[in-house]
Amino acid sequence: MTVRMFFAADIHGNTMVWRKWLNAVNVYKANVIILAGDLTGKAVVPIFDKGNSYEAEVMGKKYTAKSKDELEALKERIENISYYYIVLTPQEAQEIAADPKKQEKLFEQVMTERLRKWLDLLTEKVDLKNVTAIVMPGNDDERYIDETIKSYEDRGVIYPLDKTVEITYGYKIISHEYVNPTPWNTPREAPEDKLEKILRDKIEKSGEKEFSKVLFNFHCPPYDTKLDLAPKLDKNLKPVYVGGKPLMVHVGSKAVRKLEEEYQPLMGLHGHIHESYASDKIGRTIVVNPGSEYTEGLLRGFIIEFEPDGLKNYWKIEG
Amino acid sequence: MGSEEAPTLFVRRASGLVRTIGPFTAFMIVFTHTVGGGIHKLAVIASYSSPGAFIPYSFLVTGLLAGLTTAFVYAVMGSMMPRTGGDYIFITRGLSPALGFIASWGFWFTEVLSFGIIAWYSIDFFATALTAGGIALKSTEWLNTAQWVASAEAHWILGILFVFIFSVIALFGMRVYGWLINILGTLAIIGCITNLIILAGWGFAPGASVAGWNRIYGPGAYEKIVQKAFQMSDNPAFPVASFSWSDTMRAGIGAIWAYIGITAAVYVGGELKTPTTSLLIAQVLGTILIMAYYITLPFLVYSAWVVPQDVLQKVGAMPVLQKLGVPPDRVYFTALYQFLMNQLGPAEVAKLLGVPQNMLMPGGVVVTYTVALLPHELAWFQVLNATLVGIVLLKDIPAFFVVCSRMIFAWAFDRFFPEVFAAVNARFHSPHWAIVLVLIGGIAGVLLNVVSGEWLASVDTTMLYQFAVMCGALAAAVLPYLRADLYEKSPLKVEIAKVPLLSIIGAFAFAVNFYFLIVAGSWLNIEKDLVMQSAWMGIGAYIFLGFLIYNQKRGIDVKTIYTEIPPA
Repeated sequence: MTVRMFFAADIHGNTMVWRKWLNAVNVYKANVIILAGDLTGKAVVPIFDKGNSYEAEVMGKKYTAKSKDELEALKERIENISYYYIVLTPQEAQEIAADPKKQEKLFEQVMTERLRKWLDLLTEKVDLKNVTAIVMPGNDDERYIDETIKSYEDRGVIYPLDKTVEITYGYKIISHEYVNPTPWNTPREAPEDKLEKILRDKIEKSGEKEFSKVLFNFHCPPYDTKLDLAPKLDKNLKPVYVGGKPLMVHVGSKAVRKLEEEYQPLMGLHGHIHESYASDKIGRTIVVNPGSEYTEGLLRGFIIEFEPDGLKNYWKIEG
Repeated sequence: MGSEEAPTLFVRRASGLVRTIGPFTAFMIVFTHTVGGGIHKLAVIASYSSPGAFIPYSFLVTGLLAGLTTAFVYAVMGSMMPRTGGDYIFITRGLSPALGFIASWGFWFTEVLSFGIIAWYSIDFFATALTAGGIALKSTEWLNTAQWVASAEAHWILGILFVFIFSVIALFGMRVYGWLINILGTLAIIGCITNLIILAGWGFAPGASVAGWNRIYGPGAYEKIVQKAFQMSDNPAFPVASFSWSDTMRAGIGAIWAYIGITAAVYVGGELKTPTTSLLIAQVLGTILIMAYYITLPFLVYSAWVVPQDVLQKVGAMPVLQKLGVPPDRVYFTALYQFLMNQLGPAEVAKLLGVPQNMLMPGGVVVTYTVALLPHELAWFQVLNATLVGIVLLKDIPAFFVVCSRMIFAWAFDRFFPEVFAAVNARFHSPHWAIVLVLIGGIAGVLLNVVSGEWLASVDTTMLYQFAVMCGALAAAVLPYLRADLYEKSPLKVEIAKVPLLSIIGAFAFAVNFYFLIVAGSWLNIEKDLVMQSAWMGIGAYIFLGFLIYNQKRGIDVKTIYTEIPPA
């Protein structure tokens, strides 16, 4: 029997994309589903409680909700553009704006709430006795979300960062969420030399000696592949075009590349660079990055099929 | 509190600084940073150091051409990029990262050095205040205390104490520090107003200055000063000359120095509640008000302390004036007194007047010429004026502290300085390590002044300020073309002949600041100023280059750092 894995990443708080990822089990008949990092979003929209109505500004447009149904529709609108929401008074919003600690607490609250909602959906909609579901944070996720994921392990959700996950036919997944430094100083970054040490330690600790059935599930893609190409931006943050095409530059990790060259795992599963929806090869190792278009509500992923004696097939999907 | 004031979006990963500064405190940051020792010395010493100049014109011309235009473009740029770090942010994002860092590094040097020196020199103002009070109250104790305060020992003890106290308070964040700035600023404004009231109220009465001076130092004391000075008219430093526009323009560099600080509010851009409103009020309206004071104060000093013609005739000065071709209304007592203090020394001047040396008031401080105008029955007003003006220089320190610490914070936030300096205290929302570094810089400023025998204070750093504002103005001029995405957020999008007004005013401010940069450069002491400034800028260049290589080695896309506006 073929084992079918569905691999996606970088959905950044978009509930619509999470739902699509859950549906992959039915649509693509997946036995293993992986959401490999960058689960959380970047902004919270305050919905102002005006007594008999609610007001919010979403992407520069003002919305008013006059009934409960309209309020729920407004919340859904915000959720589907990857933002969080909070219902409060203007005074409360000002108090939060004036206190970074309150802002941090607000983000912790809305992020963990949404993740719980997502994980509840996962445990309800997917038969976790027969489907392996792996959910992990990425470089852009705060530390507190790890505990939220771990709290669902007793219901079958797998948090892969503290263990090597074994799936059918002896295939093993070693996972890590850190990336090489970015301009944005995200929560989980490490310089290349440190990153190499962390990853090497993790690989060594897994006890694996033979890597033909091992998958490196590292959020960061390897340097100088089709997976790590980001558009070069000009001073106006607009892509630089050469000959009508955007000029791309490599921004992946040299440490990840070095280790994949050295250990030659069966596959490298990566994310992080949204624009690089691609697969490539490093020696014998096949590396993939599903990319991301979460802002459009699109799910991108790779379907990967394993046989007992090796990789059967893999291909991109978009939905 | 209406919903229109509430935020419509919370974004992750903020700097940790909080928007707590309103327009009034923003104005006070500008006022307290700008109006200090400069004007209150220049208003009286300009007649001595630039006898051909009429300093109110210097303040008017530099204020209109350089001050107001620079303050305006900085306000517009600051409202487009309301982030802590001020011109470092908008030069690095709008013009060139290297230029932005170097310009900011140079300005930081003038700031951190200055506030240690300000702490040192504020002691002089207090010594003057105590002397004035001692004379007014006929108190030997006050006069003796003034003597101790004027000593080198008191200077370094009190200087370090002031720097330390203001640093510790800075750690409590802008809510507390804002109050401190507001209180000190308000006291200083009252001090400024008392100057104007005294000079306008008592200075215009015929013979008021003669009577006032003689009331303090005895009958004929005023005439003795004038007579002695004219006896030394062959001395090359004799400060009597006809009015000259070129001298007035050259004196403008001193005026420019006195305007340093009119852009101070942009450095706390990430802590302003309403950046556009606050910057326009603090920097544009603030500059207009400061300009009005800067023109009025020296004008009143000149008017009150012009030597009356009957005195000139009495001491036989007319033939000298005729020989020099100088009209009699160009002879100022402020210049003559300063001339004698410098040429003869205080001991000789005291001997000339027949008073103990501790009764002499310094020649280069405005208080000397305000308290002298007040009658004895208003001794309380003399003491009040002297004390409040004493606070005028001291009150500079918190504003300098804020500007210095926020510059360090901004470099560190961009990872072009050790990142620890971008740390913000969670309780007080203050960049505590940046503040500690500025504290060390301030104490170093005081100690270096002790060690170098005030050599450090004489280093002219105006050029470094000119370089920074020149780059800031150039960034404004080119921003609409190089960073259209940022220009979209500009509160000023008016165009004249299809050229953005921001570019026109920015280009004008750049040209004027470039002119004053050249003037300041021509005044530099090669051995002292140029060596020190070049060395400092060289260190800055190495730091920038070092962090550039380090960041690139770490795999950080430096270009993106300098393309994006950092989170508030």
